[in-house]
Amino acid sequence: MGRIYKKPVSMTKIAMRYCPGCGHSIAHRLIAEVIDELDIRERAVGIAPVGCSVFLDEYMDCDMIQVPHGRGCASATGMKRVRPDLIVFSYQGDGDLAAIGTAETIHAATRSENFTVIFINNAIYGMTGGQQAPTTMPGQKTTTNPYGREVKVHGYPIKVCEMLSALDGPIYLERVAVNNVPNVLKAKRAIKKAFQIQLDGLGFTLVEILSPCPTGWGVIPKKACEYVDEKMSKYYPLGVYKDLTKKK
Amino acid sequence: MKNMEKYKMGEKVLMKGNEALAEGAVRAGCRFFAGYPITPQNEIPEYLSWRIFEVGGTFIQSESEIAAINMIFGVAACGVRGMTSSSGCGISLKQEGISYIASAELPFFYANIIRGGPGLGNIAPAQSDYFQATRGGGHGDYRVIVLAPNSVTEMGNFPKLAYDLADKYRNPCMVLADGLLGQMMEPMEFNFDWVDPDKLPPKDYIVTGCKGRPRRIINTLHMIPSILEKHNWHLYEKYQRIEENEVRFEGCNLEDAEIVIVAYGTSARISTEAVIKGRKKGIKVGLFRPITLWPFPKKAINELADRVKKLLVVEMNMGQMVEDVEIAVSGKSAIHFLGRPGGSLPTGDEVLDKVEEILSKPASPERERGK
Amino acid sequence: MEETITKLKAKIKIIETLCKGCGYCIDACPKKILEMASYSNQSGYHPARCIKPEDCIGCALCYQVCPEIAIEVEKL
Repeated sequence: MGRIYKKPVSMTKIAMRYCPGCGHSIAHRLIAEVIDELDIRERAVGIAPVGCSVFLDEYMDCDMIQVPHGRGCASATGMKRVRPDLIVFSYQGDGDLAAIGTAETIHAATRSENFTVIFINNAIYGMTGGQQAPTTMPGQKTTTNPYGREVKVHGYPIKVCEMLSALDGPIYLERVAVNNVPNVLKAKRAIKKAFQIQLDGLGFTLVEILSPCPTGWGVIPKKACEYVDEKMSKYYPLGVYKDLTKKK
Repeated sequence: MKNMEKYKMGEKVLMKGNEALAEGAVRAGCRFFAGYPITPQNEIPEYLSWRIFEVGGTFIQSESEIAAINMIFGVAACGVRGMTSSSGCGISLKQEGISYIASAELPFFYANIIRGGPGLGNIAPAQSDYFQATRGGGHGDYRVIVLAPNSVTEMGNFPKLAYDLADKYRNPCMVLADGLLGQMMEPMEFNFDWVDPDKLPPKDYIVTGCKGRPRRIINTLHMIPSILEKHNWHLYEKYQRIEENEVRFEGCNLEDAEIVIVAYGTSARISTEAVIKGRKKGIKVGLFRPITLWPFPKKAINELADRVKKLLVVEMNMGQMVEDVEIAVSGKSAIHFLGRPGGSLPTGDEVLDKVEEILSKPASPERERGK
Repeated sequence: MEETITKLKAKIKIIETLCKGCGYCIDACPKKILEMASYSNQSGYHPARCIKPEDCIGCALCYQVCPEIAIEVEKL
């Protein structure tokens, strides 16, 4: 008997309601697989944000809490400080983490709080209808900049991994993507490493996932995956931005 | 376990209001504090920044009030007694989180040591956050239990009451004090035993990891209107129970009073002086002091209005609690108002002058506006 | 008559009701044995279907990219 690939134990039986081709559900599955493999489901508490991924709490079969927009890193801080034995992960989108919750993210990172952030970067506000995100790239069209992001008006996007890597606090920062098989497998390795670092008690970890949003981008799923390769990962290069595990 | 108790129950100690509140919180089982500096409440975080570590707790000076309240959200979700404190504008920033915590029905305790407002206002004591506190304060239909101390002893003892009420009803509970109560020093004593947080009753709604049980979800999103409506009616029913069972107030010289001053916190303290001086002059003046501002002692004030035809509401604002008194009295008595907004304090003599002025005139059903 | 017994390398199961027809699996399959069905499922999507299950090698690349976890693969 070989290996069976099916829905991870750490996920509920509820069918996911994301749009066809959405990267959120792939990211959910990778987290659940990692939780299964590390056997931490019974110690895990997930934080669902505001945005499309607010539904995460329906899909993960572990304790979950849904917190205000952008505040995942603050709530995770509180939880982890009073219950260090829990494995806490905060799942946040780009508007959540890099716009309204920038301060909470930076300060949790600089305090090197010992939890894991899964950061979904799809360069757009998905749930509210495809408005400009802090990660919308120059020239990219959204519903609030129909002629494309004009940097003179809206400024430049925030590159979260690059920004956080300037801090002393974070232990591990990596940018991955979930637009094709090799990238999905790499993304899982990154998530697993981040959780392992938390288990080892080393400190703040963040995995940024470039994620297709076909509906928000107005393209078919296949084109969305190509867009991640051709445009997004050029502007947001994949790779490890910080890894202090070797030094520690 | 080593003895972590700093003061014995009943022991007289000289303390500042803010420090008494902080020590009282620790004594009541608080093991996590997050907050952001703002005058006039800074002694609370300063005290807890060392004290809470002595009892095995954690202190974080957060990057903002918003972060602080959301740290508390996480802490309350884990079943630990957490607290935050701030003043005026800082509490405004915390309202989003308080609304979420109220909806999620998690217990926690916070304090607003009010300063003058609106805007940045000033750092002088005020009671201008009454509406914000008693109406919930943030978005959506919810209430928080509001306790109004008027002495350093109460500042030290209300955290225990606040935590117990918060746990009992799974609801946020706050202490609404002001800069004067926070900054003043006077002898006080703790009237409750040291609380060992490990011995508190277990909570079956917190997230602890789903070992040996189905997962738990703490959620404030209810997409289907009928489900949210049901949730809101459930909250309403809880608020009804709180209104029935948890009203607290104090009366002084009410039996034969011709005029009763209604005041809370610092203004009640000042009014006490007016009552003492007035009684010496033979004026039949009493004091009614709401201790819980929500639930408001509506029934007690309504009954009081059956026999006392003149009420004077004294507040350090432009007139906020006076509206609740008007609702409670339902036109049965004349309501007068003495207010000092902007961080100014009325004096006992000022209050007594007002009392004498009211008594010299026939009772009018209209509330007098202005000072 | 000679009998050829082909040993199955893997079993693939597509839960068509979950499929939203994004087509990721079809592109990922190295054996090109998946295609979009001409019919619709209950949600109105053309689900992916396996046209030659006996050719499946159990690499599970389709599983790796399926957002809906609508594909189960068992390597025999």
